[in-house]
Amino acid sequence: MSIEIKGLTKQYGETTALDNVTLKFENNKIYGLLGRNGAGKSTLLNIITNRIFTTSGEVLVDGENVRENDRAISKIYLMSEKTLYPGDMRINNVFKWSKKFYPDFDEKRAFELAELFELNTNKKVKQLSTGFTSIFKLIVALCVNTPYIFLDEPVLGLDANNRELFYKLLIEKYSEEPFTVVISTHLIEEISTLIEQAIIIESGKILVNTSREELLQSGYSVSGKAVYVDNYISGKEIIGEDTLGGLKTAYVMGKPQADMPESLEVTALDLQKLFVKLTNAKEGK
Amino acid sequence: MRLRNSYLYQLKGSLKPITIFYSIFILLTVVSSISAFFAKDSIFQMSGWDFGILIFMFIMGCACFNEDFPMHLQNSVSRKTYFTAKLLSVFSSSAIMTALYAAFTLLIHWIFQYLLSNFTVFEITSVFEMLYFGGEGIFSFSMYLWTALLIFTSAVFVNMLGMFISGVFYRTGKLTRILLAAGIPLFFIMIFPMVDYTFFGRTLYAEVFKFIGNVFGIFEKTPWKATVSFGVLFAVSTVAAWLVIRKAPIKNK
Repeated sequence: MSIEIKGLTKQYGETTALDNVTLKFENNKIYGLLGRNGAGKSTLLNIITNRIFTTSGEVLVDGENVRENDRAISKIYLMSEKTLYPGDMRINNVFKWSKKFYPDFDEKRAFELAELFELNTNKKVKQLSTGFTSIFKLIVALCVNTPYIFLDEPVLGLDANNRELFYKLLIEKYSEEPFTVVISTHLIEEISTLIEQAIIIESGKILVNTSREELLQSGYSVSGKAVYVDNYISGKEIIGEDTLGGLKTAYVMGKPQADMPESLEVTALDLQKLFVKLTNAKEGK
Repeated sequence: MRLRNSYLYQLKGSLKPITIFYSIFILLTVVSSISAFFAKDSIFQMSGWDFGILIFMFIMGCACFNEDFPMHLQNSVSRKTYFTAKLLSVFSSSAIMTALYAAFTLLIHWIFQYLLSNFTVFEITSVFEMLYFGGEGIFSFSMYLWTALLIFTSAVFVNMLGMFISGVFYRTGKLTRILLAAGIPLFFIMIFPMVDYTFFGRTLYAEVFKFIGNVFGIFEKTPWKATVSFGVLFAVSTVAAWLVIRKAPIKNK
């Protein structure tokens, strides 16, 4: 039971949005799909959910090709950044039709969550603010009960309180009954403790596809006086450097030496910093 | 299950506009009937509502796609299922429109023919009646049934034509849309008459009308020809609409 992506390529004229992407989303896991603007995240998610078509390659959901296959795509729910519900539809009708199209949709729970988020379900979709638009889509995603849920920028426009509430509800739901969730977001630090597997996509290619622990342990930062840092990092794989006056911080791939000089300070990289440095390093910045 | 829900969703979406359309129809019919009743010894006729139905169905075909299509993709419905459900809902809504029109015209005919025949004459006539049965106001069941069939077949055709046009506009870029929206009317209003006048001595228009008249059996007054022609046009517009929609991507902007 998994979603397999095999040799996926998507071209828009001269532009290659996805370049021979091969991935697997396994059962009951939380993934972070990270990438810079225009990296190809939304394109990937749209292809997986049959909203756009590939140039080449295929997507298999539990062994079935997803292309124009109701049975396969009904196992996936994508909460996208763009709102595809009709503007004149009231939220209570969104829940009603979600129940019809997704038989396992928990309508009662949806109304409970709406109350929790203080969402007025009598309002029309077009009357909602950016934050509440994200909230109603999140509620549908949390109640739809499909085996695979994709969240593209789920917390767009949400205040800190609602973001925290969403993460809490997501973890609670995952703990009660695990499922596969893929979160695509720019707020990397917020999800860094949630995700089990990190996938970094850059210019349509998969840069990193590893567990969060492995990724965080794949590098470290070393700081101190510039001359000492330069001595230390000589011959090592560096993914970035920051200099401030006579002080320098270098971001090094690999494990710290056992005999670290006392003049240098070693700290673990956080996911956001690692992501920034990896993607900048790829671009040669 | 998905097909059924998609069909119900699309049909439900058309019920509100149908209700509004017939509310206006009933209101105008009642007002006209009352005027006819008080006019006494006069002949009142309301006509053209069948063409009103066609315009309404065409606009519905044009208007529904842009909202329905993304909603279906959001709810993991394939394009095949969406389109199949669309066809079923087009047949259903056309049948509802035709049945309501037929029922109201029959009711008005019965009221003024039997209940109020001593007071005045009030008829709802259709353009199809006038084209194929002379529009003499002589009621017959075969005329009544043929009119209903013509309304139904033309309604399904224009609805699918509207969907095809909507699909083309969805799939094409801004420049193409402007060229189509301006170019097609320009062609028929200016270019075609100019070409006809300059090179064909105005015979082209006459030939075109003659061809349309023959295909739709207008000159021979054969409604079966028109029914068949609308059926063929429905099939062509359905295929064309499918070709446009089967690979339509979701738009992110």
